[in-house]
Amino acid sequence: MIYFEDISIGDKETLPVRHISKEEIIAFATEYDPQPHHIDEEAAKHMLLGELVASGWHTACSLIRMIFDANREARAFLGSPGVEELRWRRPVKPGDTLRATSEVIEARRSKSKPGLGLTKTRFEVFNQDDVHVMTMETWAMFACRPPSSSDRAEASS
Amino acid sequence: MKMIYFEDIELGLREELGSYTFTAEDIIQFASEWDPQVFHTDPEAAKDSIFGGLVASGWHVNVIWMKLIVASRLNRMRKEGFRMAGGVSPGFKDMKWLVPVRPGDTLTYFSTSAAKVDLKSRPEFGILQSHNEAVNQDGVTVMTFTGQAYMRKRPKE
Repeated sequence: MIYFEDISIGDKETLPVRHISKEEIIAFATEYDPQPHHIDEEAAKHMLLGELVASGWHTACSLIRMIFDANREARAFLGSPGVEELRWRRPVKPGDTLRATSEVIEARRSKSKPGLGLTKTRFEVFNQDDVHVMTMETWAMFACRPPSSSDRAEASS
Repeated sequence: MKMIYFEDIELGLREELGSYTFTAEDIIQFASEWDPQVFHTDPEAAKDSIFGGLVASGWHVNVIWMKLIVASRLNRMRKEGFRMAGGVSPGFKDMKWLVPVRPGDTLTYFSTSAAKVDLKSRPEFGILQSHNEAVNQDGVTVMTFTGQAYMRKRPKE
């Protein structure tokens, strides 16, 4: 089990890639962001970006799934209090393959809740041409290692 | 058709975007696809989590904001006969998930025009910042964030 103490500032990870199909772009946007440039290829040609592009929320949700899929080892993850900043830098298009990197940029124990730690991680998302499409800086809460857990016994043995 | 430009936006206007009830089925379906943490997908396992029961993914709460703002804007544009000159977003800031959203909760979403930012790099555009909130059936604010949208400035005569 990965606890707060196992996470350090500077920890870097590469997340598994994710393919974004036209069908998925249209299906996501039809449900959550039905603007013409996300759901209608013909109409999109006459709009600001000139072609069908993924909803930014679709790109964000794809990153959330990539983060989940990257975490093969169980984590004492207690949810997220929020996102400090998310930037949509370039459009994501049908057929794009996204990759992402993460780096822990802050880590501190909670002052109000003993036994809990907070980490801030910066995620950078790129497409197959290495174009930087999105950045997210988000907080996560983790349980601290329990004083007498079996993990600790294993670690010290 | 009347075009609404950056200059036409009045600051401080609070718009009600609509309401949405989160069912357990809906919470599980969204999270299974995008954010499959056990406290979002498994009502039994969620009882032993920090939340003490199933809660909606924060990203689910976010995308419903998008769904409602698109519906509300399209409705108003149709009814009042105008178009917004812009709307593409460079991203958001300070997203805070303040209170868990549980099955049966009904959230009402609000968006308030909060600030206008000029762009040195693209003088024909400005950024409109909005303050956004989701409030549950008990009047408790469960989510807030600062949204941003590019708006075209009124073309020079």
